[in-house]
Amino acid sequence: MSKHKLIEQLDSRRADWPAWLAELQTAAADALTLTGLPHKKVERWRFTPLRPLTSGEFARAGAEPDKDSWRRVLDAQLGDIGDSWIIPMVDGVVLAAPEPAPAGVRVSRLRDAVAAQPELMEQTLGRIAPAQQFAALNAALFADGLVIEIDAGAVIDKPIHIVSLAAAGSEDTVCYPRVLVIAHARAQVPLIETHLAAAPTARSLANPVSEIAVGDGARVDHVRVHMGGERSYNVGMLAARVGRDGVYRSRLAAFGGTLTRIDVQIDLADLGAETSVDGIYHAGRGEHVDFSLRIDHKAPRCTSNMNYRGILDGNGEAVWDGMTVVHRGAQHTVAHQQNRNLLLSDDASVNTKPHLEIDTDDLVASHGATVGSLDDQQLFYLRSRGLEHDQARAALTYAFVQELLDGIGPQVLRGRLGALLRQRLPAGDTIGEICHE
Amino acid sequence: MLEIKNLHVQVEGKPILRGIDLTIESGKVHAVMGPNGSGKSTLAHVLAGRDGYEVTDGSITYLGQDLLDMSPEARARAGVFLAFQYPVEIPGVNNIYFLKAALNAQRREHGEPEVDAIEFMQIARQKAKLVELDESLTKRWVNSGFSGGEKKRNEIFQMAVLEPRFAVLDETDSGLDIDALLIVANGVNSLRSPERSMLLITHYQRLLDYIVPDIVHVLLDGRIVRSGDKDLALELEKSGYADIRAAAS
Repeated sequence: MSKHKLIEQLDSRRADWPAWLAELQTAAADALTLTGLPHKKVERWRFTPLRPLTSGEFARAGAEPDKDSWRRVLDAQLGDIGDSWIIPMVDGVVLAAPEPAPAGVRVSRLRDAVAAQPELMEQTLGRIAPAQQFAALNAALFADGLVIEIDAGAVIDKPIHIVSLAAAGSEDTVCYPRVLVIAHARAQVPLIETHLAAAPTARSLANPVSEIAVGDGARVDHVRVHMGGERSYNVGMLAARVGRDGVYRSRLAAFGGTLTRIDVQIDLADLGAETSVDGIYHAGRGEHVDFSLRIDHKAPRCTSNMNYRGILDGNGEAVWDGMTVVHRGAQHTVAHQQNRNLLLSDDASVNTKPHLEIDTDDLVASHGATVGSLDDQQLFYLRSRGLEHDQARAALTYAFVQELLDGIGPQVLRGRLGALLRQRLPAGDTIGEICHE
Repeated sequence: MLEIKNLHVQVEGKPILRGIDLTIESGKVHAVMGPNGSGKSTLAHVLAGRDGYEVTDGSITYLGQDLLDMSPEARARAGVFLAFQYPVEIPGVNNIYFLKAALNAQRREHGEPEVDAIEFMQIARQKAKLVELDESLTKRWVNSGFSGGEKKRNEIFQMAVLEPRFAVLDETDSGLDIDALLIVANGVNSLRSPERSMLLITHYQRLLDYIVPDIVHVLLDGRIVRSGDKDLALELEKSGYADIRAAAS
């Protein structure tokens, strides 16, 4: 496989799309050619160490996806997360699902959907995630992808689980996974999206973009898990557009990675739309996790809640940039933002910036951020009852994110994520008894 | 059980305790009374091993061991318990799971078999009744959202579960109305035994009407200036600390 710089890969776009999609990809490529990939002088990328990506050369993965690796990596990194309906994607290529889709759910390869439903695709694909910066790289270069449609009024109980794996390569590789989920009016669906990297010997970059269309009165409960690893980079976007009285809940758990950068963009596009966007993250030695969130209130009576909490250890770094924009005319808005961080080490660092932009006078809003260390009084209290110092520290660290963990719907998944977090904490193996469900 | 000799303690370079001598026999309940700033809470915290208190002289011997040489958790496992004046809220840590871990840590230390979840729930249910603590509270996050009275009852509930040899009750009466005080006092009284000693730290005599001490000490400016039986508390209640201060100086 030949290796190229990311920006040079724009020249190798596929040309066999219908006109509208070819235009969309060309526009994304042109925009990116003009601005270049982001760097430290670009607002909202100031603290993101992108140089290894923007200056490195990567071979494009996905030509011959390994059909069996995803299950092995999933079992090894995430383990049993309970009953879910799995759709595997390796290096952005959709593989056959192990089981047929449940009633009310239609799953297609993006190429097939573009051919079969040109109108719906033209209205939706690429219309939710703005084609800018790294999301533009994906927009210009995706060669296929996954489309999931939930029929109007369908109520799906069993979570649909997208397992997106960046497979290991012997040289530096990049993939551009693309996902579009359309929940039609009044549909209800639990969605799990897991991003994994198969312990690569060379650098592995995933540049995923997921778009979620939440129809009028529909509800999508979306849990997204990022399992980062050494030499694994994940820089992508999650974007949702929420229709009238629709509900979009995003629960994100990001554990490490050399670089995990997730842009979250949510459009509250019509009356009464609602979103809550929660996240927990952990970065230890040599890891960087990075979130850039934006919620747009474009209609009256919409509600948004952002609530992220992170734990930083070793020389781990986190960046959190949360922006809520309340547009003119978006009366009766409720918008809250909070980001709290716990530093377990002197070498760990956080850059956090919650902010609101408000162009209406009728709203209830709040925003705030904290960065702190463990509370001495709480630590002493637990020790004075007989808990070991390290055990008490681990219990308090875990407690810091317990509330957000409790908000993750599927119980078995919640339990697994808790266990994975404990594995990352010093003395985390001593608190199972204190922290189990 | 406990022998404090010539204990001098500083906080941020400022002397707070200035030569405490106090011996507590097995099964006895001692009360330490004193005005604000006399060093009562410092004494409680030094006994439990809180950081930030510098012992500049003296010793504390507990069951033949040098208490000051032990970590807070080692003290707890050896049977020392502090009921806090202001129990801290710990959202995210479950009251009952944490207490089970604490009990089992102590049992492991003593070479006793650990209790399983079912046994523990039986113990917890029984002990919660002692202080009329609503069972739902035992399952919540530690002290989180508890009223002042519930926090104090939770302290005595924990004490009942952990069954310490030596308990320090730091202003356990503060913030309690008379009904709550009676409940807490009944709980404490039911835990009195020939093998267990207690040190009650209080500002007011009121608590001692309900938990009657064997010996009362008056702490003033970091020193015990008088000791006597329970009638000393009544005397103090009438005359205040001023007379004793005058007599002591």
